[in-house]
Amino acid sequence: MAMTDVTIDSPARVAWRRFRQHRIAMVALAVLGVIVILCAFAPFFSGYDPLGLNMAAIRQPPSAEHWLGTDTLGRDVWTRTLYGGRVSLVIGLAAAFLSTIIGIVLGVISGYFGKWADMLVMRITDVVMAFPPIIIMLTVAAFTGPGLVNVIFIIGGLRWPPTARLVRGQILQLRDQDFVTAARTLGLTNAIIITRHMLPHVVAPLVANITFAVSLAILTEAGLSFLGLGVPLPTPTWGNMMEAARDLRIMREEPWMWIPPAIFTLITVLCINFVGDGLRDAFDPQQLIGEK
Amino acid sequence: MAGQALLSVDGLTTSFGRGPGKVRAVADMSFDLAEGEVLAIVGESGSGKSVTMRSIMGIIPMPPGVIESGTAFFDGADLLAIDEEHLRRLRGKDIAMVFQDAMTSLNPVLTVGRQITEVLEEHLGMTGKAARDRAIALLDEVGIPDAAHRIDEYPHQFSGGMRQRAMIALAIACGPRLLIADEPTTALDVTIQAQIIDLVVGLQTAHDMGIVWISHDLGVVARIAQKVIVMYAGRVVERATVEDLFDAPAHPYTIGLLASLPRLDQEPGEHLDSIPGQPPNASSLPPGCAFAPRCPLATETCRVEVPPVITVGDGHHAACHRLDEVRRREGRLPWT
Repeated sequence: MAMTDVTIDSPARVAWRRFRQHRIAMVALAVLGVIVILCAFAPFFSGYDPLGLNMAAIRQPPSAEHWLGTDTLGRDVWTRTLYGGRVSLVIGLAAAFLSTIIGIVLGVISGYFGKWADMLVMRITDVVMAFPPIIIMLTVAAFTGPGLVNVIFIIGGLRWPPTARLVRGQILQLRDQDFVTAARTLGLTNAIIITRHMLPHVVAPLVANITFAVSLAILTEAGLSFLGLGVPLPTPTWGNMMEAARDLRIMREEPWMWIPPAIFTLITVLCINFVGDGLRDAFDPQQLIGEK
Repeated sequence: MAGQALLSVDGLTTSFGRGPGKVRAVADMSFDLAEGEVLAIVGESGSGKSVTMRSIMGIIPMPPGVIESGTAFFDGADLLAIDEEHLRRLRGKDIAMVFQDAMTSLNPVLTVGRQITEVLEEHLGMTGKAARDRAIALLDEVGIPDAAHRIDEYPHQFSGGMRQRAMIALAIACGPRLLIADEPTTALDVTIQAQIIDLVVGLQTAHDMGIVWISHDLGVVARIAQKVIVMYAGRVVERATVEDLFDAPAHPYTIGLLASLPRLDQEPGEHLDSIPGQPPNASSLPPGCAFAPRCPLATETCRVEVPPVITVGDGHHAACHRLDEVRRREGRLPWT
């Protein structure tokens, strides 16, 4: 029919179509969906209380009653793994969100306004990146004490430098693009130029970055909790459940206590990374151009 | 000329970089533009015509760019001295700019309509349906067929000429009194070029805008402008009305430019004159007249002294030491 019949695809729609063609990412997304549903609706998938002790049934191997056995205090491992996933996923998302926000704000300030602002932000970034993160986290965690919110702030507050650098680099490139110059000659405010004209172009590289930040935050939480500086017991997280493996007897002879959270962590992180890969390819502007 | 100056530029000097690699892109540029007047700035690539207007618009990247001196009064305000916020409120509303490449000057991730409505929102406070209707009317005015549908399309769905029309719609959205057109037809086919020029001429008459049209195409200039400034290596070499410039060019460079244009009244087989040599390297300009190394009339004075601006006639000036010699030869110069 006529020219007016051409369908209009927004860039987001095109990206989604491309993402669907990425087989591994789609499988990963499905697996991730299952894990999230299991954790989010944990009460539907388990009849036990994650904190409920049962001294009559401690250290039991997997059975029909306790699918994944029980721990040293007789708590059901399957139940604790699901409830622990809630905490781990929340920490992963919240910390990644926090570090992304900090990274975007500082990256934009640095890249767009340049001059001394750029100097200042980049030096702070260098300082934060120069310290081995685990050392700072241990130190900070030792001062603030363990706790869910503290862990989120510690991870989010230390993982932003890569995001800030990425955003800064993108903004620097965009700043000299004709359409940004044109937007300035049209008298648009810096706020509008940044949010409406520049940030949408940063989304593509950032989306992949965010997913990797989530998986990294989950791993970091596991690390901190494993060392006893994360979320305190008895609240289960994948990290502090794995802490059980520090006991040699459990590590060798009662693996049902630590393998489930370890496998959940592994699969979740892997899936998130695959989804990140898929998103990066889907948003790749070079391929977008080839698409249309 | 009717009315007082809309834009009055005086002594503008812009350079890039510092130290030995410093390039003075524009040196001591001055001109006046009256309300509703069309001024063309011509010159080859690197002659400073774009840098002049970009300096005035405040879109020179700094660093490395530096506006060393000069004033540019628009509506009583010195565009080179006012704060960023004041300048922002003038840009897009009273002064607008159209760029050479509309493909890269429109944001690929926003629909054409959104890019127009956001300007209307910003400067005129129009929102929602009012802004959308106005945007459709603007697209219609610049000759985009089926504007009501095409408003929701993305720039890549527009053809080159349509994109340039959309850019123009964007520029005139808030009824600017000054339009800066930076080679808006250079990237287009000749037929589309002609349409865009007609469009701008039509809009200029309808809205009584002052226009500064930057071009390296004298043919385009002849069609649109009333006054012309010829630049060479960052300096004004000649300024005149279009008629004077084409009938009685005074500067050897202008004469050379005109001689290199193909003409319909030329004998078949007759070859076009070209100016021998290359434009000078902007970071190491000769001490005297920048055109001296290529000029057939150059003398020792030309090579060491910057030529003064001499009045040739009413509103006709040229910066040349050898104007008497040019006049004696009646504008015919020995190029080869």
